[in-house]
Amino acid sequence: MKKTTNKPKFSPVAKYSKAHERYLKRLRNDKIFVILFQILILVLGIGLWELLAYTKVIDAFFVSSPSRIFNMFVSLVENGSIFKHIGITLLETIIGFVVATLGGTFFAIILWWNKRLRRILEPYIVVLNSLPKIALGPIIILWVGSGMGAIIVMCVLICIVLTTITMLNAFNSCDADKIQLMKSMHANKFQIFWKLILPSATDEFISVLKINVGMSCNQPALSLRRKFQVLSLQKVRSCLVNT
Amino acid sequence: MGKMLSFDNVNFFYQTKKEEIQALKDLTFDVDENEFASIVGPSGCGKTTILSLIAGLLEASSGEILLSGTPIKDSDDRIGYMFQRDHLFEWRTIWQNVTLSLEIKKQPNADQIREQAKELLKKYDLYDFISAKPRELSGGMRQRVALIRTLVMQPKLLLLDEPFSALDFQTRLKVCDDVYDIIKSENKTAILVTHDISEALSMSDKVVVLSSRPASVKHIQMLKFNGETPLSRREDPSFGKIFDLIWKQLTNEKDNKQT
Repeated sequence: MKKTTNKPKFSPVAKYSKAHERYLKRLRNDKIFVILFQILILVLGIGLWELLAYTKVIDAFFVSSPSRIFNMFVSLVENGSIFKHIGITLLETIIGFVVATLGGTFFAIILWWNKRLRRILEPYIVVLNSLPKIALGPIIILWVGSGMGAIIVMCVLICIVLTTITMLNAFNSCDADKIQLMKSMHANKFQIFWKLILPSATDEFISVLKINVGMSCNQPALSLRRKFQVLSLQKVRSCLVNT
Repeated sequence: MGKMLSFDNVNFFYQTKKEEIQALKDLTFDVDENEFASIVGPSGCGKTTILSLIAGLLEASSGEILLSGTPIKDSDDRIGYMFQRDHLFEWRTIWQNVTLSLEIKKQPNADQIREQAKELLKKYDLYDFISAKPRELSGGMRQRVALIRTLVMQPKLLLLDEPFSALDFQTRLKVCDDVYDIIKSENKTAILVTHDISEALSMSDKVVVLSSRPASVKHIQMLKFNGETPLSRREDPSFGKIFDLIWKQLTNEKDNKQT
């Protein structure tokens, strides 16, 4: 006996009106246009950079060129040293990022918890934030040396103050009526923090993570670039000595 | 019927940098058990301050506030507070919002309370949304969830601080009916603070009219309208007359303030 099913039959092709099809086509074309232009800008930018370096309008010794970077990348891959350098850079970035994010959030929690302490430390935090951290570079090198430690300390210094200020603002901007609601439910300070203040600051925490990832990458990446620059300078010097 | 709440010559002052301001002056009124009382008064007269005093969030400068004959203490679990806005936590599901107070304060009969909460959610067509986030609900539904969240605290006395002010008129009438039904069927005593006289009249057994700041009791109106719901109580012939009476009390107050 032939089985019959009550399943509704759907046409494999959705039926759209002509106007709707035109609308969808316009959306698709718009998306393709944006992507194509993004690629075009990238290609033009790299092409222009290479052209200017090739025609010596700009000095490739200082600003490099895409072909030089590619050649350097290939040679570093061939001798395997790039993986070591990337590994160290990643480690510096991750340590700096984690310490700064957790440390900054922890300070923000302490300052939210203790209003008086917050009022006492507020001007110092503002001053610390406005201080150009890169200016502390020489002092940090004197304190912790010029190796990995200095890069991590620099990375933490750059991110921690910003994290503290952003998270503290997020904690303080929580709706006062919601805090009253928690109090009317007889919540203690820890419960108010854990169930209300912290979750309501999630958006700010995510934006802090995004900012810190970028800023943490900056410092080790700069040092990585510096290492390669030193290598290139040493190479130039040895060439000069040989000639 | 015994007294649930009594205010006896309560005064309240708050401090600003410039001066000390008296918000309440010799405030005296009672609310009986299972009674629905409303407090109306000019804007800024201190209506919400009264609720904060009852909830133990503020402390009276002088006078006595008794709940079932005993003084109100800090974080008194006999009281549930419903605010002007629903204040549902957007990152929690409806069920997690409703049972928030059970997470904060462990109750010996928590399972029974959870079952009651489920029943209330079912009764008011919210059960299908227990896993939803608050943003998926309409304003009226959110306000009903907020009330059920307050009832989960098992309060003897419910404080409602203009809970319908953020709703559009049609939703407001519907939610008023639902909230009234929930409070009456749960045999709760409630105090509603509102600036809407018709809302106060349609829901209450008693309306307390306050003077402008410093607030004191200007008039207490007992109500007995025909009708089972706030909407049907509005159709009572005496509704308009009492509305006018209270309106006059409040407008006199405004006139006096202007002169």
